[in-house]
Amino acid sequence: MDSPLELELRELLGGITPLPPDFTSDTDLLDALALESAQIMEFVMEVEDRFDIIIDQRQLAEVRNIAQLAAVVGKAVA
Amino acid sequence: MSLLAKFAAVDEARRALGEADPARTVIERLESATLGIINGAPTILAGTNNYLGMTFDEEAVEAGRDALTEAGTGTTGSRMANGTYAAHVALEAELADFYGYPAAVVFSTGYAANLGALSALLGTGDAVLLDADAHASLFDGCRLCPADLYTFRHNDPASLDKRLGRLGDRARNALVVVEGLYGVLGDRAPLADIAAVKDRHGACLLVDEAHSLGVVGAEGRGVVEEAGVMDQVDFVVGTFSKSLGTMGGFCASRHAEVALFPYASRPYMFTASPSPATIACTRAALRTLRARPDLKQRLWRNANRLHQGLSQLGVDVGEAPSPVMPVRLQQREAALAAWNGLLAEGVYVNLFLPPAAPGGGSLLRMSVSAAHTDDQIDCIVAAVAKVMKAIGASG
Repeated sequence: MDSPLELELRELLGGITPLPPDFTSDTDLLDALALESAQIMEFVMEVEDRFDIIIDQRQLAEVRNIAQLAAVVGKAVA
Repeated sequence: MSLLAKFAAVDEARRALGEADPARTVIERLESATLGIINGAPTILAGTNNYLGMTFDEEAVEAGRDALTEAGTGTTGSRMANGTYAAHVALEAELADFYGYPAAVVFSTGYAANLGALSALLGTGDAVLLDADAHASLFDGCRLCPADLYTFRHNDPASLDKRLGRLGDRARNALVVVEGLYGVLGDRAPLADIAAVKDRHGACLLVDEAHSLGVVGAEGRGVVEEAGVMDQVDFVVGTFSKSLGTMGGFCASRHAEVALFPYASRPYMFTASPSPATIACTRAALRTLRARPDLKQRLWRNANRLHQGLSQLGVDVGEAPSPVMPVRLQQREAALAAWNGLLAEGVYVNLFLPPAAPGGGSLLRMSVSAAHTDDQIDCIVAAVAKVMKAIGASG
């Protein structure tokens, strides 16, 4: 079951690129979406502004899905 | 074979471009700064960074020839070892004088200058905030450092302000990194506003003037000069490979500590220094740049002529003329067809396919030189008209 934070992140991502019907918070972002680097940057900046946080790009190196991103955002918000 | 397997996709993408591979275009011979022979045909060069047409500057060519004779073909060593000649030091003093700063450091390329300056400046616990459209060399330089890396929206001081605010006290250890004039879209950074924001937060500002040295500002010192922020900007980096027509890069600063960068910069230490001929040509080109404001005026006259000609065709080249003129084409196939068509018409431009173009889509990047003749500019416009009609696009 997706958390409210995960749902919000998915909504933001959906504004950047169409999400496939079977997309979940565990879907591998790179494999499933073929995001360009500019889209990834745009998504990160959208997330930062939505939650009034700032995310070091190095923290994102290990992030492969929305669930993992939610953990990073949750830590920054706390 | 697994290491090499990834190249199958590269090869496939390259083959999809057809016979003409923009990334491997060969200029078989040069007739002048703005005319080359490509595929055996005379071709107007409208996709270089030769903004002032300096590559055939007579004084630069003669200085290079003399240096080859007097000092040999290369230094064979790093600036930190045997690779610093009197001419390297003289060029650093001349660059510092040009900017009115206490010191400047010369690097072997513009790419190395960005990597070298950023890696000297940024350590563990520091933060760097990079414009999202910044050049790859600036991203690479930031990634070379242990500092935390953040991006802000392109040319958006409010986006920068929010992020510096979120850093709190750490903003005092932050470096903001922007370009003066952006090399793909030709737009300028709002430097006065960006400088005000960084001052408010106690951060530092580095401006890459690769495309604006000699092109913008009353004395050709770039957007930092035009925006009146030379005493607010902390570091100016640039390249010799565009308006000066040679090779190499530099970092100049109002902070005397820039002279200590060589001791903390691996891209400075671990590569050979520029050849004596390169340094001699660069010094001569810098003298020409300073002595001949007419070159900059001619460049802008040509930029205006091309902008007007293309705008009258209905091509979207933006509102303001710039020596860097992008023609956006959303469809990759249309962009490729236009690039091939222009080459067939005797006009060479640059092609940006996804994901290389900022904002998505594809674009043709045209650049203007002071050395273009009116006839050449008019030929470029005529070729664009013909090609756009053939592919059924007007922007």
